Amino acid sequence: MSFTLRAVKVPPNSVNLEEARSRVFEIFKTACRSIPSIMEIYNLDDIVSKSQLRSIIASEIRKNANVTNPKVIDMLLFKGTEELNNILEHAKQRHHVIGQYVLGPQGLVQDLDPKDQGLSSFLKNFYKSNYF
Amino acid sequence: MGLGLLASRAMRPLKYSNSRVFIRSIVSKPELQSPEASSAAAATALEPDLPPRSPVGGARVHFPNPEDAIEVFVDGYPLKIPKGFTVLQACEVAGVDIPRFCYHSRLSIAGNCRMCLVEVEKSPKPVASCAMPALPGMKIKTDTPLAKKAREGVMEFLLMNHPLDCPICDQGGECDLQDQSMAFGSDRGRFTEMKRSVVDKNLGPLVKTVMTRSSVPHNFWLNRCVRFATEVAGVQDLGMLGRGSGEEIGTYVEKLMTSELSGNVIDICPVGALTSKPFAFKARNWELKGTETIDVTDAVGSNIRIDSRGPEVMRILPRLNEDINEEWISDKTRFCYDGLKRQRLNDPMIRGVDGRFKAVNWRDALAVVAEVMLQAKPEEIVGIAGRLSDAESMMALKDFLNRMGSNNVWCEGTGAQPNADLRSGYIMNTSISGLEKADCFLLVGTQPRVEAAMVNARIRKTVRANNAKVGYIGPATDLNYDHQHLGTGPKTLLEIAEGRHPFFSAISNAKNPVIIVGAGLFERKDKDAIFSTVEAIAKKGNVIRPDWNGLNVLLLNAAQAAALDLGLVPESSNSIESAKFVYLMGADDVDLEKLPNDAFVVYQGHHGDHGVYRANVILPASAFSEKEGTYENTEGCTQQTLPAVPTVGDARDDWKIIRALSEVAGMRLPYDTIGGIRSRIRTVAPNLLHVDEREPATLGPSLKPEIKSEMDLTPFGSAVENFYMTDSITRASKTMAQCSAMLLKK
Amino acid sequence: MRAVRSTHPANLFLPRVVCGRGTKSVASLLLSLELVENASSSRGQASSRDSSSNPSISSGISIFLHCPELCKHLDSPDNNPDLPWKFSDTNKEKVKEILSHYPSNYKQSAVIPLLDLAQQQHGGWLPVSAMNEVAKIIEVAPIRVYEVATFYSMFNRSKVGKYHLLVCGTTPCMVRGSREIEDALLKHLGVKRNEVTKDGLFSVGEMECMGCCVNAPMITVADYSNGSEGYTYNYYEDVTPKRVIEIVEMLRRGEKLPPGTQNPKRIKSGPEGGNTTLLSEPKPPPCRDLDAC
Repeated sequence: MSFTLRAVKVPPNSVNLEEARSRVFEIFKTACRSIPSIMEIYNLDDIVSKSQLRSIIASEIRKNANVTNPKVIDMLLFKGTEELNNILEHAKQRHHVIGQYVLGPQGLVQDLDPKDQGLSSFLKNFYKSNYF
Repeated sequence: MGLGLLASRAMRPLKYSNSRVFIRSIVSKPELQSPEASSAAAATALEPDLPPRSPVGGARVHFPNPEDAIEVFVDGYPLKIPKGFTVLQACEVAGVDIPRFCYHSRLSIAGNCRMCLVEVEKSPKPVASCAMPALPGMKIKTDTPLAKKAREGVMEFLLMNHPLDCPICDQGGECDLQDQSMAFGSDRGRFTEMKRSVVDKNLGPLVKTVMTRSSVPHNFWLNRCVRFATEVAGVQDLGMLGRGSGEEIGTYVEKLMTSELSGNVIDICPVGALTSKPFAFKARNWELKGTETIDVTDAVGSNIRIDSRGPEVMRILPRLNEDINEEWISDKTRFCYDGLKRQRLNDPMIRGVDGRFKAVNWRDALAVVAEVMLQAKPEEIVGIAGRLSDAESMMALKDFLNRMGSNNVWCEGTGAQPNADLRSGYIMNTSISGLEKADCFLLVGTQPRVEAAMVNARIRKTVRANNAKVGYIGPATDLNYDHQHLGTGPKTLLEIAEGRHPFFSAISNAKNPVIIVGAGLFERKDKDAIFSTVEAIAKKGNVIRPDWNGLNVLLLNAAQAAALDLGLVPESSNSIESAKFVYLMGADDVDLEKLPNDAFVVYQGHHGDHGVYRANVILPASAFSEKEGTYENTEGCTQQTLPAVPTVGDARDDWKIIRALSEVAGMRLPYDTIGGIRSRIRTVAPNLLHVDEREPATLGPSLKPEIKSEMDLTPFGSAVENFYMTDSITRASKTMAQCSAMLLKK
Repeated sequence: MRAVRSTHPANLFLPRVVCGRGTKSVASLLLSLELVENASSSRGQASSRDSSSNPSISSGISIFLHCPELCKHLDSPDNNPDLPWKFSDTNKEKVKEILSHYPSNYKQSAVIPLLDLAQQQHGGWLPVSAMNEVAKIIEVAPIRVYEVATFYSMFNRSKVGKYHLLVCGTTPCMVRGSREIEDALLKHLGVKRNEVTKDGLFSVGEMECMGCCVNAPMITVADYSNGSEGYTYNYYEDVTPKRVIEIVEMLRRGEKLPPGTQNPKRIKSGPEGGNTTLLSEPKPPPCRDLDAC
């Protein structure tokens, strides 16, 4: 833990939304620059391309597009930097990266079916497991 | 038990706190005027500084005759007990747990381990409390130095030849000898000689013997198992052989224990001499999670505890229920659990065009079933519940098929036209514990020893206790008590009904006669005629009185009583011949020979058993150890199972599958939770919600319309061919297969 | 057991030792000695004695077959439950007579006399089929008969010789040299304990105190050579290693020899060379002085 914390430089707080916004672009650029080494570390060449990874990073950032409070953005920036550090320091394993970013949260659910829309919650749960 | 005593000692405060208030009322009883009684009363008043105690294990005293009460003092407590109690029983009522080895409340008193020594005032020596009757005014002291020293000495003798192999002994952790030597024994022994060793015996595939552990010289103390075999199980195979230090328990000639209750010797053995063979070296008892549930392998509904570790059932033990199984269970109940790990269905499967099953997901499987089902005509849809089905799933199945327009739902084993209208016509009206009051039994077409071993043990107990007469009609069988084989079929039944048979006078002269009819007769075409003949006997022999109902039906399957309560009765008797869609909910023993070849069969169940051979779609369900379900036993007592382990693979609970299927088929059932189903059951059979209560039948058979049909004179068949293999779980069990191979080999 | 007693009840000897203040210590000494003896002889059946004379245990089973304390039946050609066994016609009468001693609902009380009769008829030992037959007669489960037969050491469950020689091994006899006597017998006959000689005539066993301690050491000869009619069970007392061999040879030749003490200088259990005490007329017990009244 302390090892990770030492590596993460805590930037000063953003004064306004503009400053926070530029910091977001900064972190996006840093992340994009580290894509080649990530592909090398985790041997992702045959799974995903650089541009795909870039759009995954962008979509991760866009998830929080609605946030306007600079303090919250600072916190998210901190978390993002930490995550990037973890990835670069090989604190994760290949399947973590693939599972979290390449496939995404929905990627592991096989039975994702558009027909599920009209079903009762009982049946949805039933298809998932016996225990609900 | 020993540790409990220690704990009670530890909890006792050293000084009396004055918080306890004594309320004494003034009594004007003449008996208190006598010097003895008044001195006793004075003694009561003199001993106020003792904390209250509660009886051991919630022991209750029942005074059959209030005049016979006597007063004794246990550690200073005055105590009223009925005459004929032993000192040990008096101590239990007083809340003192006396250590014991040879004494067992359900076996005869042997009095040979001497562990239960207590001091009695004015007795020169400590007395063996288990064999000593309590006398009026006796002053019993259980924790005096004399008693403690006596116990320590006995313990040293008991441990003299006992091997020090607790680390490799299966009893370790649940061993009376371990506990009591910790609580009452010395911390060192003086025995320096070689310990004795004894050759192990082969008692069959169920009971493992380590005879060296039973070797205690001069005290043939362990003979609990010999007494159990002789008194409860009714097999005279075990005996005490040799004498002195050469004494041992054995069968002398090479012989296996041929009892359906043999597993119980494992429980009653206070040391590790007799342990479970299938469970040997599998787990330690402190690793196990106990789940209190009930057994479904027969219609008795024995109370059991499933011990599991993680997802695996490790063993099954009996639970005390005086009304049903006392504290015994049959070998089938105890050792069937390895069947829960074999042959399990873990994925929904659809049979392809090549005849092979292919695993699919639930979505596809249910879609296929629903599609075929909607194409079939309502009268061509048939649903059959299996012998292990719980009430909830049977309710859901019936509701679902009724919504589909079909009323052809029944439970296997209830025959073509079961009588579900009068509850007294299919349950055990006397109740299992009520059998003990009987003095004459007539068994019609039933062999309780293989159909319901615990009921048989009750009958045997009654025969031993009050020399009840037993008459048996059916194929030749081996009942382990004295009985008269009256005949093999309806002919004898007619003779008795007409009063021509000598056994009729035995029934009519008996105070509490009992007639037990086997559920195997449900399958006969002439069952109505047989039942009306039996009712005629009951009427003539005065079997049904306001205070006594001796007319019983002994059911075969766990599901039967609940199925009939819920009204699972087929609309037409030949629905299978014209069926196009058959829904088997765990039904394995249905005769599908007559089923048309183009019929679509869905098998919902937990084992790949007989039902799977003909199935087109398999829906995996959970077994009784994995679900919460309501079962009604043969005497009409409702009980529930609780899940002990998670389901296997992608299996689902039975009622959930039917509920999901109903939605896929567009006939959605209106309940989403087990509570919802139970409120639905409340409208059909409210007795199924009164858990652990026996609901007697209210109406007698006198309301039944007169039936005029001829009896077929073919003899009765036997309902259970192989005691060890009756359902899909036991058929999958390796242990049960070994038992059938070895024990039924003649 | 029918025992032909030729001596005074020698238990007279014991009360004299154990009376007085030393009762407890002497009795407990005797008891503990007996326990040690029992324990060592039973536990060390195969190990201590037999294997010391024959260090390589040739086959475990054969040792077990001759072990009288084995509480287990092992099938062999001459002893298995499939062999038919019936009481002879003359003995059937005796069985009826024995059963008539007991109420008809307590037939099982006859188990010991019937086993004894069966043993006499079967040449001194009880095959498992004989025990089954007895169980059938007294209407109990066979295991109840096995329990009795294994409890009493007088019932032999393996083959014995026509003359079964039993050497008393309890403390007084042991102190007076019963081990030498047993060694002499075994050496002379060339067998081990509980083994039958090749001609089937003799076997040697050990037994516990028969109450002849005043004439120790002693042996008992159970004579099964003439079936249950000519069955005798005689004590030979005050024996020496030389004398027992003479006894064996006399038995082999079929000669009758008087049971009882083998010491010519003794009469029954009287002291050697005639009485030394109580020679005069015994004094009458003292009475109170009637004249003083």
